[in-house]
Amino acid sequence: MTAPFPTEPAAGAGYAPAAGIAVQGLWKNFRDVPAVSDLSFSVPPGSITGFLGPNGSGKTTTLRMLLGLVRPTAGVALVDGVPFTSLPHPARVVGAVLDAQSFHPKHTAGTHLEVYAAAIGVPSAQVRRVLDLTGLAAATRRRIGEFSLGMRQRLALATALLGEPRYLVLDEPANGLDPEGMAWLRDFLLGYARSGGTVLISSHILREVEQTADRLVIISRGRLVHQGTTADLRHAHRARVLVAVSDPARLATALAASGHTDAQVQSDGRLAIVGVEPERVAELATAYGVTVFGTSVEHIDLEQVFLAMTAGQYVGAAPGWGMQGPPAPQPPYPGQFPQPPQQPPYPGQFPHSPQPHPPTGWEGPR
Amino acid sequence: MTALLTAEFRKVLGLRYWWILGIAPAVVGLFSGALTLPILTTLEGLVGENFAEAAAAAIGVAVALALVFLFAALFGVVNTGSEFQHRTIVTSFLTARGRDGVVAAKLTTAVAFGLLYCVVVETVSVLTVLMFGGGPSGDGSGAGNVAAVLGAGLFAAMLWALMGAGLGLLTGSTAGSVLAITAWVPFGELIVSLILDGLGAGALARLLPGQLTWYTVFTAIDLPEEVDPAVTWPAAPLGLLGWTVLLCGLGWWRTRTRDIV
Repeated sequence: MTAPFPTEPAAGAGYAPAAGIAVQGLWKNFRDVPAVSDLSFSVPPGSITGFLGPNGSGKTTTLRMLLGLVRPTAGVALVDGVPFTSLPHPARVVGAVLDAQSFHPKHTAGTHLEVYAAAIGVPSAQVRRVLDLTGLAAATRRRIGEFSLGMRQRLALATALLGEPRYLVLDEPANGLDPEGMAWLRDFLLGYARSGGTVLISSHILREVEQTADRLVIISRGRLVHQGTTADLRHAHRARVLVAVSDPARLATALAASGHTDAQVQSDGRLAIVGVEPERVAELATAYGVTVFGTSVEHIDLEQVFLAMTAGQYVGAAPGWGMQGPPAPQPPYPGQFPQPPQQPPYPGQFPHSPQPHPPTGWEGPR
Repeated sequence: MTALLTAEFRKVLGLRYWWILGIAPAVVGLFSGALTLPILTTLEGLVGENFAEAAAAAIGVAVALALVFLFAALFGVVNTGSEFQHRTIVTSFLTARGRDGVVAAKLTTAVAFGLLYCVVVETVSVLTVLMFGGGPSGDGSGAGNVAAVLGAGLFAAMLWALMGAGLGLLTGSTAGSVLAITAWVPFGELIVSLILDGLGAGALARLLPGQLTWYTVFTAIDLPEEVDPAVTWPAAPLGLLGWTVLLCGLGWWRTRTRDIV
């Protein structure tokens, strides 16, 4: 079985090993309206980085600045240490899916890809390969105007893959994809990263990228509010055990004595404990003669964490006519937000190693 | 650059507008050439000995050329403006090194198709003039004039295609640019000329692109001495070139600097 794409570096590409994506002090004002403000983050090589923020938070503007489509007011965005527009063969380094509408509706999928295969300088055989890879082979001769949004997303991804890039920059690629398509995209991206590719994927829904991304960059109002690994975020917002006991202070002391110091008495008198299994709490309570009246486990939804981090960008008026709207998202653990932005490491100093991913059919970028 | 040119040609040839835009001038070229020379030959007593072929070349072919210039400009507009209309400019920029190469490829493509339109229409027109008019006069002056008109026509078609492309790049709008050109060529320039004449600035009206085009084409032939055009060769083609450089330059600058949001 031949690999979908060759794994040898392209002749003439002439690049040093990938150094990742680095956004440093990026600002963008549209007239007097700030879209992005002093944004800095990094995308380590081999990682899948979720770029999250509510609609209008500056994600698309940031990605377009990264790709040289929008001129920053200040700051730089670098790929492999240079601006995208300075790359000699940009499409062989970065494949981008920015807009599922960037097609001429009268072109067929095949013609569209032939056009950009010529522009990139890859053989026409590559068109067939990316069509097969994205599941569009049967639609090669169909006009793009007849495509569903999901098919357009796949075609946009096929276009991005033509140059066998080392980086994929995807702006809300799950829009329009059905659950099967989203699962396919997830597996594809995991395989792509496993084989050495680097992915920066934006979304306004954390759940869309939570299972895929090993790093998260979260912005709100154009500013960084969180940067780190997904595992770190999960660790910071672990499930807590809430126990109603006869003597909370005694149980807290018992927990501390056994090394579990993250326990707080709640306003309702229950003890909230992080990092300990309910069974262990029960054992300690029994050992120290504390009666347990009830135990519950409170799981923290990362989506709620994300919403709490980014809440308030666009606050609508309170529902009228006596309607009671849902409560605004609250930080799962009061006092934990906002987190101070982390200083991004310089290119080449990424502290994070990508997590292993399950194998897929993707053999990787060059 | 070759890669980008190949991409541009694939883009155009994958659609139908390039030959649809070429049909109208070709049809007009066929009929205007077929009708003009026989009519002028019958009026040779009025227009002068051996002048029928020259007049036929100037009138018959020029009628077809008028549409060639218009449709070459429309091709240029559609070729550049549709990139913004359908947002394919995003992918074009992402697959090329810098924006200059994309712009250069698009302008080159516009030139190629402008010339193609003109060659086809001129060929059709000349063939029909020869078929229905019985061929040019024996001293060869008629053939020389026809060749001069055709050459000037090719030059003007190329510049009009570039002007259309430049306008499309400048505005980023196919509809707006098409509307502007289709309004300017038959009516707009005439109205502006009348206004300028009324203001006593008739000399400026002679420098508008449409009039410069006709001075370029007509002053390419041996005109009778009593004819005294306001703008002659090479001022006319240079003026037209100036308009082209202006529009293409502005379009290029706008495309280089605009944010693609």
